[in-house]
Amino acid sequence: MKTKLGPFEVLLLQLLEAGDDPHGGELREAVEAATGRVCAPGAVYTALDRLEQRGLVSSLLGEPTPKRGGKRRRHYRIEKAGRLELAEAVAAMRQLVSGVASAKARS
Amino acid sequence: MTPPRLARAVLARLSNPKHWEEIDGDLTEWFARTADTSGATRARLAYWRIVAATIAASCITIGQQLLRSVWPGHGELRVVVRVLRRQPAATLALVVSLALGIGANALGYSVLHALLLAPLPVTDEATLVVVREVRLAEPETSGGASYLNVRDWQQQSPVFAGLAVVSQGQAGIPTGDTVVQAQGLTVSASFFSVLGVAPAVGTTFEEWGDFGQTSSGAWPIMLTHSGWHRLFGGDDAIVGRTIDVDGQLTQVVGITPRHLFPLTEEPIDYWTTPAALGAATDPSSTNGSRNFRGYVAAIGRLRPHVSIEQAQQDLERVNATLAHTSPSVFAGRRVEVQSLRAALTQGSTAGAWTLVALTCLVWLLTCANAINLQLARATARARDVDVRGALGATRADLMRPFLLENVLIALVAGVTGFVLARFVAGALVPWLPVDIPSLPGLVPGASGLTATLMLSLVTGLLCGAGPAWMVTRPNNRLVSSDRSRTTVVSPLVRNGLLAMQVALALPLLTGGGLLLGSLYRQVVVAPGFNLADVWATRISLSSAGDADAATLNRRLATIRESLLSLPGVDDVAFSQSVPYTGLDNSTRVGITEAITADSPSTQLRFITPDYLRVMRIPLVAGRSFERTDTASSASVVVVSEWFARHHFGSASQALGRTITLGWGGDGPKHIVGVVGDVRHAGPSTPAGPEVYVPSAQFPNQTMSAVIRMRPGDTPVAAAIHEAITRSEPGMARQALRAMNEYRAERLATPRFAAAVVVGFALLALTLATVGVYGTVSYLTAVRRQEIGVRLALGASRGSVFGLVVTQALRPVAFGVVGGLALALAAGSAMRPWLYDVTPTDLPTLSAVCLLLVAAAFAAAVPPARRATRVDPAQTLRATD
Repeated sequence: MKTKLGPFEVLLLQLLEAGDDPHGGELREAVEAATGRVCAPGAVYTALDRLEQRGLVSSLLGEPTPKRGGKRRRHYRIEKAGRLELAEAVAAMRQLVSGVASAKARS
Repeated sequence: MTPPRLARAVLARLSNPKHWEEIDGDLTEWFARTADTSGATRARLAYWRIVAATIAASCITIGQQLLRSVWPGHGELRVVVRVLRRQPAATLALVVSLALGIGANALGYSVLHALLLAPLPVTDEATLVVVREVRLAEPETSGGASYLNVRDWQQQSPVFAGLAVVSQGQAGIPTGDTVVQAQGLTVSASFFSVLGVAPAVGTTFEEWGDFGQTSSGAWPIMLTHSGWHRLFGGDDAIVGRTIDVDGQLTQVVGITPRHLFPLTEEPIDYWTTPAALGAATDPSSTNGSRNFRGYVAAIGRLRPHVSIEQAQQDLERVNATLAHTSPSVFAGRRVEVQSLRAALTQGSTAGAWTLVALTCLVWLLTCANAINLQLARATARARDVDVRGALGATRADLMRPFLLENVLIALVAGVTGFVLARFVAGALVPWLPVDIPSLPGLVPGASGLTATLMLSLVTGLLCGAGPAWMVTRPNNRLVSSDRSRTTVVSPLVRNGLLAMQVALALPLLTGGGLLLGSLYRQVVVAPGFNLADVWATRISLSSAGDADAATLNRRLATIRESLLSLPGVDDVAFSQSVPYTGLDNSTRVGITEAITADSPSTQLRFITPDYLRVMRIPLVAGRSFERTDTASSASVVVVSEWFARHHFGSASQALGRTITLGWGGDGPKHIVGVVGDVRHAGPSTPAGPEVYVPSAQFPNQTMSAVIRMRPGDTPVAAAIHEAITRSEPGMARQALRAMNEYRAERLATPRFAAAVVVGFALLALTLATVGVYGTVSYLTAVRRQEIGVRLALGASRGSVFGLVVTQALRPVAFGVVGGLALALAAGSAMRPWLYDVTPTDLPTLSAVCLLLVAAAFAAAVPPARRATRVDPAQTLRATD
């Protein structure tokens, strides 16, 4: 059964589509910038894990750098299935918004 | 620059280990960048904010997981709700019965909470104590404090940060064009700072000290919040105004906050300084006497780390030094230090615990009832359970819907019960008898709700677990050919539950019966006087309190004449203290020798000659007072029968003897008459020794008029007040009240207790009856076939009826026998509230047992009659 994408997942997929294989830290900061709220890093990785399990994104470990205290980065990339589902979700949201708008215009 | 270590450690614990490397790396990189651009402090703060967000997210995740573990799949909940909605009557019965049980407990909890847990409206309650000096011989009833002793304690003992005396008083306060008799407390100037209470308006007495006057030469007075509204309608302009209180120029300096202090039984209108009770240098005044403990008590604030025992020991030490100079003052007395809460709730805690015990019984009873009802419902679902079990559901899977259903019902019932308890408590508070302090928090609040919800959860699990366990027991009913006889629950269990319900109902019914019995006896008791058609009002005969004897007696005569001229007034007399009004005097009496500290004591009444006639107090021997008994004639007294019998052997032997009184006029007094005993303090307090003194020989500044109306007439209060003040304007008086009202006040506590417990008892009776009906219905339904066979084999319908009823009454009988032990325990717990009834009162016990059995019988009749209507042919066919 296909599960619909949640708003947080839509946001992440959009960021992945726009970005150039961003890593988790960049994504977290981008989410904070987009929502204006503090975002727990665990939340980002948990959501990305879920998307990866469904084959919507793929991830790749980078090289350790001294700036990161010798820790490696994990880069993410959106897959074809991910693009399709994102487009579908965005279209559904658009329809929802325009439906409300036209209902408003009619009344 | 590295992230804060603690924050990083917290984050490491909360993060998914699989991603910790990336998270830590990301944040380290980000932290260094942020520290460069916005500074280390901001970066650290931002890091902590991320940790906080992670903690919040974890909490939500844990909560969701927890919910999912007890609640796997919302579909299950939906099924439960659907099942409950399909049987609205059964669900409603369950919710209502549990709501009553849980609501009763919410009420019990809130009472206990108010008495033991809820904070008093003072600062740091734990270090506040009440200090009194009690007589060793009568530690329960004696006790008080003298101003000079308290002052010496304060000066010589290091244990107190502050110590303030408290005394009750009355005064006539002018409000507009009338003078109202108001209740007040005389307190040290430091009283409010000792309590840590700031005035709501104006200032406290601190500025003027115990004996100072305000700059306008007036005595300072403060109003309580309720007094301010009662006397002055909450008028802000009253603060700073000078008024004439009993002839003294007085200035209102402040108003205390609302619900300040449930210190005394009666609502208090005002506060005055000790100056109201005379100078400390005048040995004949309340303040100047060490021996006369004219103050109710002293309230003290202990210094930090001082225990109550240490305070008590130190005061004993100070008293021992004081005793060197005045040994007689401290002989036969000791200091008693109590915590403020203990002093306030003394006498109420036992009642609260009894209430809690009763509510627990009600709760257990409702649980037993709910389990019984649920067993019946669970049985109906046995087939469903079997099918699911056969398809592979585990026992936990099978039990879960039952638990879920019961928790849901119990929570709904809990919320309903809480709302009910709030409503009942709110409605009851204004009706609380005066001797139950209306502490803040009697109406259940947030903590009550928490406790109620927790109890509901326990109730739901308890009521669900039993039936669920029994119904889901592995069995082979599905494969057995004998499918029609699916007795899921053994009759033993159901009968046991029924017996338990009866056993739990019995103590509640017994308690109700005993309290009703003692209320009835207090209502019908002969008080020794006739209060029908009698009204009373208290009058200050002189506004300045210094009128001489002749003036006072003349005023009494004038007021009597003007009252007698009113329509409907039959007779008028005066007494300084009237029965049931709470006023009383006590003094030592010398029978043969001079008065010492060991002399017996007696109650003392100052009356006008008509008083005994107006109150219909019968003359037993000798004569009543005459108008010729004046200040210039021989000193005479009339004594009560109890007094005569106890001190002289009989009424006739008392006549002509002389006694001396500690107060009420010097010199020997001749006993000229003996009258019947009067229950002065209230219907439940037996009469004791009483001595009547003619007020003409010992005038009082304040007297109460007792007015007997012609039968059927009620006095017009305004006309009475006008008649009283006609001769002497500005005389303060209390509102006119019927003696029956005072009587109702005295009976309020037993009435209240009886109402509460009888309410529980009725609830218990209803639940037990429902239990009998449900159980018998179930058992007869199960035995339908057997009954059909009996009828087919020739049993008469009467014998079937008898069979069902006797088998139903057997567990009831077991319950009654078992419940008797509980009933006896409940009875002895109620001993303090019983009057003239023993806890083992045989008529009460047999009556409640009979009532219970009769109700059980009545409940068993309908199912038994249904059993007799079984068609044997049909049931025999059904067995094929």
